[in-house]
Amino acid sequence: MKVYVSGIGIITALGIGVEANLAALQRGQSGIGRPQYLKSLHQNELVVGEVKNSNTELTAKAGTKADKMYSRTSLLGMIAAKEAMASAQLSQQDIATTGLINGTSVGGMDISEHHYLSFKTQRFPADYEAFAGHDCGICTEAMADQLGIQGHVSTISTACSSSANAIMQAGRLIKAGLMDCVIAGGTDALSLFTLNGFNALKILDYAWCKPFDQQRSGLNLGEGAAYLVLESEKRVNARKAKVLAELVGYGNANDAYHQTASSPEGKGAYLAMKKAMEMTGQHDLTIDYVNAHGTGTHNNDLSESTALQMMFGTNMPDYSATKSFTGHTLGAAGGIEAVFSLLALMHQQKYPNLNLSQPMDILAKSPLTELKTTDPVRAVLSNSFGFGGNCTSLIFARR
Amino acid sequence: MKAYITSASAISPQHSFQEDAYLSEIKSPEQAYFSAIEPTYREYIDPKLSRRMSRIIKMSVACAKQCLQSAEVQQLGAIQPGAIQPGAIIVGTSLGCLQDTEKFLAELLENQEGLLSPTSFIQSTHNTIAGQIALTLNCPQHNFTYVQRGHSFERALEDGLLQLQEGTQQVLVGGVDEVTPTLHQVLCKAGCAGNVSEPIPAHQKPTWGEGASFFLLDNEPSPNSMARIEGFQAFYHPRLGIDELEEKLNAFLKDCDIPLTNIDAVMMGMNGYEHDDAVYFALYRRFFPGKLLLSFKNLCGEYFTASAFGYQLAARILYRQEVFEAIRVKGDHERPIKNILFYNHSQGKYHTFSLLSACQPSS
Repeated sequence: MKVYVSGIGIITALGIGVEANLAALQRGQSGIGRPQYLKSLHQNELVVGEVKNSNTELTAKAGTKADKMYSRTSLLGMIAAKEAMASAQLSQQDIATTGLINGTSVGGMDISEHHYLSFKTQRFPADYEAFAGHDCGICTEAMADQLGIQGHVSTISTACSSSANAIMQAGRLIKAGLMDCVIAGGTDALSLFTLNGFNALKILDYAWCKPFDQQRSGLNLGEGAAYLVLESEKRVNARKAKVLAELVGYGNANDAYHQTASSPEGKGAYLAMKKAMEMTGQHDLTIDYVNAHGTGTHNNDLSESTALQMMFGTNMPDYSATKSFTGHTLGAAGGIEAVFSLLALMHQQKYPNLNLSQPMDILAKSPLTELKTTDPVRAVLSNSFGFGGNCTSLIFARR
Repeated sequence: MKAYITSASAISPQHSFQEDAYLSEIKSPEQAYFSAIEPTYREYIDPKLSRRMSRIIKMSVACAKQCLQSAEVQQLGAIQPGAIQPGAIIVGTSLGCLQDTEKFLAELLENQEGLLSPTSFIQSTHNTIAGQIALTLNCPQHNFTYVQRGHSFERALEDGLLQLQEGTQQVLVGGVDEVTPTLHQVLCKAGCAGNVSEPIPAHQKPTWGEGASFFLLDNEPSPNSMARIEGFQAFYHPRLGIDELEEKLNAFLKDCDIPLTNIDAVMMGMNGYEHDDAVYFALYRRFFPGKLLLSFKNLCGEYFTASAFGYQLAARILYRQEVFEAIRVKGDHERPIKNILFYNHSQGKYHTFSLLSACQPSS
C-alpha cells in the first residue's frame, strides 16, 4: 500500500500558511529576531524564531472559544492542521475516519510555567485550571476536539524528532492497512522552560545561528506547527484526491550514545538514513536534496555531516538547514521541515542555508547558500534528530 | 495484530517485582496516594548511573531489565546479559519525567532565569525513559515514546504489535508514570483524584497511583510464553454513550471471532469512583452476567498508564491459572481461564478493549 501526501499546513516565524512560508524561503528571508511575545529576561539579548502573532490573534485564527484557555502549542497546532485539512479537501465524511498523530515536546508548558511559582510558594492563589492543559496529550486532545477527529488520536514525544516520528508512524499504520487517512505532524511553542534549558546546556547562539559553518556556536530556538495529510493509495484513488507527493521511506534508530549529545560518528543518524534509504530501494530513487537537521550546534552538525558522508560519500546531494529561517522548533521541526521538503518537490527548487561564511570541511560539498531552481527535484530526504538519541529520517518523492 | 507475551515485569504499589513474592501481601496506600514499592536498584543499574536518575527512570530501567532477564531465563535457561536484544524499545508515559520537570521549573523561576544546571532539563523530556533504556542495553533499534493520556501505553502496545507484523522478532513495550505531591495536589483540585487520608463516603474520587510495567512481545510462542494477545482496539471518543460502547464491544468480539461463552473472565478498570465505574458495570451486566469479574486498579491506583499493570496481571493469571482473591469482584473461579476480555477507559474518553488468552493447555 503506497502512502501519499494530499495536504499540508504550516505556521512558523516565516508566517501563517504555506504561501507565506514558501515566499520567505524563496526570498531567503529569515523569520528569526528578538522575541516580542515570549516574556523572558533574556529577550533583549538573544534571537528566536517566534510566530509574529499574539495568543489572542492565534485564538481568533484557530476559531476556538476565547473563554477557554488553550496553550500556544495547541493554537499553533490547530491553525496548521486546519490548513492541511483544507488543502487536502477532506469532507466531513472523510474526517470521520481520519486519525491525528501529533508530535510535541513541551505541550502546554507555555502556560503552566507562569503559574507554577505561585502554586509552589502559595504566595498567590494558584490557578489550577492553568495546569489542566499542561501535558502533551491534552494539547492533541484539544486539537482533535476542535478538528472533529475521533478514534485514533495519538501523541509522540521524542524531543526534536517528535513530529518526524508522528509522520513515520502515520505511514506505518497506513502501509499496514490499519488506517486510511492520518493528519500527522507536530507543534511546539516557545517557552521559558526550553529557552533556559538550552541556555543552561550552553548550546544557544545569541546571534543568528550558522548551521554547518566552521564558526557555528549554537542554535536559535523557534516555534511553530506543521501537518501533512497522509492517505492510502486506495483512499486517494477513491476520492480522486490531488496527490502532492509520496512518502517512500522512513527510518528510526537510536544513537544509544548519550542522553543529549550525538555520537561523533553519527551512528544513530546514519542508521536512520540507511533504514529510510533501504525502504526506497525498490524505487531506485536518487535523493536530489537533503533538508538536514542542521541545528547550528557544534555537536549536531559534526555528527550529521559525518553520517551524511558515510551515507552518500562522493555523491552527496545538495543540502541545507532551514533552521536558519525558522529556528529550531523542537517537536514541530520534523513536520515543518517535511513541509519544506514537499515544497521543494512541488516547486522543483532547493532552499538555501542562511548565515554561512566558512563551511565545515567534513563534506566535500558546502550547503546551498542560494535558492536553486535549475535541477530536477525527484526525491528529498529530511532528517530529525533529538535528545535521548532519537534519530528519524523521512524520504518524500514525486508521484 | 497478535503477539505472545514472553515475559512481563512490574514495579507497582504492590509486591509485583519479585516473582516468588508476587502479590504475597496486599498493600493499601500509606499516604494520600499509592506509591510504588521500589526495588534495590543496585542489581539492575550501575550505582554511578542511578545516582543521577530520577525515580521514574530508575523504575523503568530496572523493570525493563528484569523483563529481559526473565525472558532469558525462560528461553535460555539462565540470565545471559545481552543475549536477548529487543528489536524495538517503545514506551508509553502520559506525564513523563515529572520530578525532573518540576525541579528545573522551580530552579528556573526561583533563580529568575539565572545560571542553571542543565541536568534536570536534560532528564525532563518524555523520551529520557526509552532513551536511557536504549543506552543501558546499547540498543540502536526503533525507539518511540507515546504520551497520549489514557492511551499512552495502548499506542505503545499498538506500535509494538505493528513492529512484530513488520517482521521484528522481539519488542520491548512498557507503560510508566510517576506521582509527585504537586501532581496529586493538582489532580485533587481538578476533581480527578481523591485523598486517601480524607475519605468522602460514597463520593470518593479515585485513588491515584503509579508504576512501571514492561513486556517482551514475540512473534513466536516459546515453551513458557505467559499469554497471547488475541485482539486489541483503542479509540478516543470525547462523548460515547453506552449504546455506542456496546456496539463497539460487539464489533470487537466479532473481530476476535470469539463467542461470549468462551470468555472465562473479564478484567475491567474500576477505580472506586461511581461516576467512572458505572460504564464497567453496565457492560458487565449486558454482556457477561455471572462471569468472573476482576479489577486491577484497587492494587495499582488510577493513572494514565494503569492498563499496563492490568495487562501484566492478566498475563500472570493466564499463565499461573491463579486468581488473586484481592481482585475478584464478582463471580467464581470455577473453570480454567483460557480467555480474559479486558476493558478500560480513562476519563470516559480513552477506551480500550483487548483479548488475552492462555498459551499452555490448562490442566
